[in-house]
Amino acid sequence: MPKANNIQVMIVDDQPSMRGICKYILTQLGFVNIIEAKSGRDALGKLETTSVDLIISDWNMDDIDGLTLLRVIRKYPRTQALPFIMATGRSDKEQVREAISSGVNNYVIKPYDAQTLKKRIEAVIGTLS
Amino acid sequence: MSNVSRPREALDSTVIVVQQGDYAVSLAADVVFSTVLGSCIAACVRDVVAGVGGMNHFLLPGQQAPQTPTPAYGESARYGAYAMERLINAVLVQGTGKKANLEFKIFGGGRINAALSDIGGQNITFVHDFLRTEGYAIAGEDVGGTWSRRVMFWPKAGRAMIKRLESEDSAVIARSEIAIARRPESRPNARADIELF
Repeated sequence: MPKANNIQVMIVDDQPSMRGICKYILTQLGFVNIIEAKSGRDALGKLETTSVDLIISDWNMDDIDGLTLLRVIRKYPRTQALPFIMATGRSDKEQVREAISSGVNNYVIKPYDAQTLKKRIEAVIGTLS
Repeated sequence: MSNVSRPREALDSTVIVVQQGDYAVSLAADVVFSTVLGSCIAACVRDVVAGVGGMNHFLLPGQQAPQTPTPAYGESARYGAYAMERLINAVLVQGTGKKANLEFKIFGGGRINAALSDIGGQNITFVHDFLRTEGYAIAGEDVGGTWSRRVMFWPKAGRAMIKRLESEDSAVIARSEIAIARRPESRPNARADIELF
């Protein structure tokens, strides 16, 4: 059973407010190892040097969007199995299908609360102890 | 609430009313967004290069109770940040996609009922904090006061027009805003989320 305080989470969002909200919620859930990336490009750079257990990424971002980030991550052996949760305001079924076909592990609609995010995380990495 | 006649500048325009909890974006020169604000906030965003603009209209939930604190990342802030983010994203998608090209104008946040806590003031504080955190400057604003407002915003030109409403209108508007904010369906977190897995 995974422990939240042993899991390294990367938050990817180009909006500081949204990163702050996600970090606040993760802290409420017991996560302590939280890395922030301010863009898809920043995330890819940090993934080269940092070991991460879970990514929670925004969809709409300036340089590399969440879907492109996901596709790049799935291309490389070292990161292709990395659990990836897409956080977005979009609920269009076609876009959801696109994310699934690209290998997203789960999907959370903004604005989400701690219990919703916990359910999504546990669906991906297992029940948190 | 009395009917407010359409100003001369909007006679040839298509008026789109932006209701509480909603937002709209357009690049058409003959479109004008219109809304009536008591304690609510309307943020008007425009991509100055692409000539695309939008307006939202929100009241932070969880602030109907006079003494409710507003934690930095509590439910209210999450809802407000989402209301801002989806408007900004919609303008970015239809515009140049560059945040540096965005111009913001802020309206509303009136203290309509002196007997209650300053809900409007809390909404103003939120939107100021949000824009500062995101690194956006405010090009213009008409916020606070003890009155309600009708705001019209031409998204392509970025022009805004404000009309202060009579006090008897303000009381009706304030009651309506709070009633809408209390409806479960107006609270995004209360909606059924998509269950995929």
